Parts: sequence; structure tokens; C-alpha cells
Amino acid sequence: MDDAVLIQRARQGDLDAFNRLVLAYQDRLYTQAYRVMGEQGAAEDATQEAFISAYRKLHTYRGGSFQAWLLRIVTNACYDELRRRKRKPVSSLEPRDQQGEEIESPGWMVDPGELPEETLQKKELAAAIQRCLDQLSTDFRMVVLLVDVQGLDYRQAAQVIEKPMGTVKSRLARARLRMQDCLQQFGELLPFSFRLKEEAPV
Amino acid sequence: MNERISRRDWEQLSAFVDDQLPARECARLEARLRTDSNLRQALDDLRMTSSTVKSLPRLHAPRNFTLTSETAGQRQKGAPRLFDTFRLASAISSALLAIVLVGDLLAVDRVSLAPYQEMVAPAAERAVEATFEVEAVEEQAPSAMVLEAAPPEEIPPMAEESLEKEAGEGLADATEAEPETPEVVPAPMAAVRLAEILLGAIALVTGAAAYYFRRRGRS
Repeated sequence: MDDAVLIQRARQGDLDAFNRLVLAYQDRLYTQAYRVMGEQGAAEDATQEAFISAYRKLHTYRGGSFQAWLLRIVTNACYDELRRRKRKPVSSLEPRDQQGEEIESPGWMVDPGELPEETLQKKELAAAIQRCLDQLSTDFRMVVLLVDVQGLDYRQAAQVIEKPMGTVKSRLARARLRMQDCLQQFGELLPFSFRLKEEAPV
Repeated sequence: MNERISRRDWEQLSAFVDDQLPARECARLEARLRTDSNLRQALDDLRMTSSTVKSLPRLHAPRNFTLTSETAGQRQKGAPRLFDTFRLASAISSALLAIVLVGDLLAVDRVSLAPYQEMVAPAAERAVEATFEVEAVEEQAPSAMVLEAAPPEEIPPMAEESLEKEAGEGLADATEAEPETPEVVPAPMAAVRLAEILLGAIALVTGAAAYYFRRRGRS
């Protein structure tokens, strides 16, 4: 059954139809929330809030990409949570060294002895990318995630963040530049060609 | 970024990587790429960065986010509707209470003192009249004694007694009128007080209920 039929049924109050949409999109929304928030608990809250909000606002959906519509809702939920945290900052659960600086990789939570080397490297690379994403401003991070992780085109990304396409284009270019600079710090984890570039004489 | 790559070129390269560049600009950029090695290097860097970010795995939701009828229903219908109702009731009763209180304060002199004045005034007038009569008799008595050297027993004792008694009664009326007033006056005032208490109670209860349903709606 395609999305349009499920959406129509859900609009008429069929919760089962809506839940089938939830199951179809929950991984994408959770991924977006996790990549923006950087932690599981907050990502779960934002995802749940987004689906509840989507059900309540289903009558405002005017067609087009349902994924983009849902991503806009979860993006707004993340923005709300980030704004709330800015007003009421909470202490980080990240481990700190003796100087009080956060220890760089969250890999400390994983027992590496139980993982094959390749899996571990992939996890570390993912953690490095996430760390670089976290260093971007929220606006830049959103655009990178929408285009590179969610695979939206510029027009859809513009709909999600409710900005012109030119803004998406500009933010994405600048965000990629910053990501590139940041990823250079994790040379060992990066693809071979990336390392070659880093080691090449200037 | 290579310092020789301008911000505009970088934006065009970024859009080129995503196939989002208009055909005309795309052709122009491709022509430049054929001759400009710096631009080609920047394009390679961008492609690598983009593909590295794209390599991030899609995460699996740690649990299902499906809605139960309770979750969806409570939030969509129950809690907000009750919250709105109680909030409106609280606002209305608070506004009415404010109006009654202000009206009460403004009218307190006229409404509450008028019955007291009505009760006290006749008694006080009688007392004043009686006092004047006693004084008049006392004034006449000494002058009569001086002029006519009349003995004191000539003044009729009964008249004096009756005058004093009358004056005393007048004063007594005036003083006795005070404790009687609360039993007579409160009819309109009691209704106002009752209305104030009722409105205050309604405002408090509905306000508390609105707060409760708002909290329940959020949880």
C-alpha cells in the first residue's frame, strides 16, 4: 500500500494506517534526530515528539514529499530541544581528562575486544564524522544531513528548513569546507585517498 | 580550501557534486575544470568529503515509535480540550471576581454605610434634641434663682427627671443602635461577599484543573 493511501486513511483517524507510516519512516527520522542531537535519549524524544506532532498536524500536509514533510517536523523538534538546552544547559556525560577537557572519542563506551577490527574502524570513522558534524552550527549541520545523509535534493532541503534554495547551496558548500578541515584531524580513520592528500607535500 | 578557490567557485563545485547546477553554469564550470588544476583538486576534495559524510550508516530506531490510541487520543483530543475549557473558565471567573471586587470597593461607602446612617441618624437627632432641652432647662433654672431667689424645690422635680430621662433615653437609643446594625444591614453586602468567595473558589479550582491537564498533556 503506498503512502498516499495510508496518509488518506490516517487523516480519517485510522491510527493503524499512520503507524504503518511510522514504521516506514522511523529509521530515517531517528537517524536525522540522532545526527543532529548527538545522543540517543534526546534523539528518541525528538523522534517520538515528531510522530505525535505529525499525527496531530496531518491535515496540514498538502502533498509533495512526505519524507521531507516529516523531516521538517523532526528538524523543528530538534531545534526546539536545542533552544531549550541553550536556556537550561545541562552538564555533559562525556568523560573528561585531568585538565577537565572532554575526551575526544565516545568509543570509550565500547568494548573493543568484542568487535572485529573492521567494524571497530567503521564505528570510529562514524564517531569522527559525528564529532565533526557536532562542531558545525545547527543550521549548517541540518543542511549537510538533509542532503548527504538523507539524500534530499536542494529543493526538498529548502522546503524542510523553510529557506530559499540559494541558502541551502551556500550553507552546504561552507559546511562541507568545515567538514573537510575537521576530518583531516582523523587521518588514520579516513579513506586511503584522503590520507594520501593529507600526507602529500604542500 | 585552496586559497585560490573563491567562495563562489566553491559553492558551484559543491552544487556540481550534487548535480544541482543549472546546465549553463555546469557547462561553463566543466570548461574551466579542463584547464584549471586547482579547481579539479578542490572538486576531488569536495567529492571525498561528501562521500565520507554519505558513508555514515543509517541508524536503526532503538524502538518502535508507533502511537497508541491513548497516546494519540490523549494528546490530540482529551488533554488539550479539557485544558482549554478549564483555562477559559478560570479566566472568566477571575475577570468576574475582579469586576465584583472593584465594584465593591467603589460602592462600599454608599452601599454599606447608608443603612448604618439611616439607623443612627434618628437616634442621634433625638439625643441632640434632648440634650438641648436639658441645657435649656438648666440655663433657665439658675437665672430664675438669681432673679426671683426662688428656692430650688420650685423647679418641678418631675420635669427635671422626665427631661433627664428623655435625654438619657435619647442617648441610650443612639448608643444602643450600634450593636443592632450588623443584624439589620448585611442583605446586599452578604450577597456580594458570597459572590466574591464563590468566584474566587471557581477561579482557583479551574486554574488548578487547567494546570493539571496541561501537565498531563505534556507528559
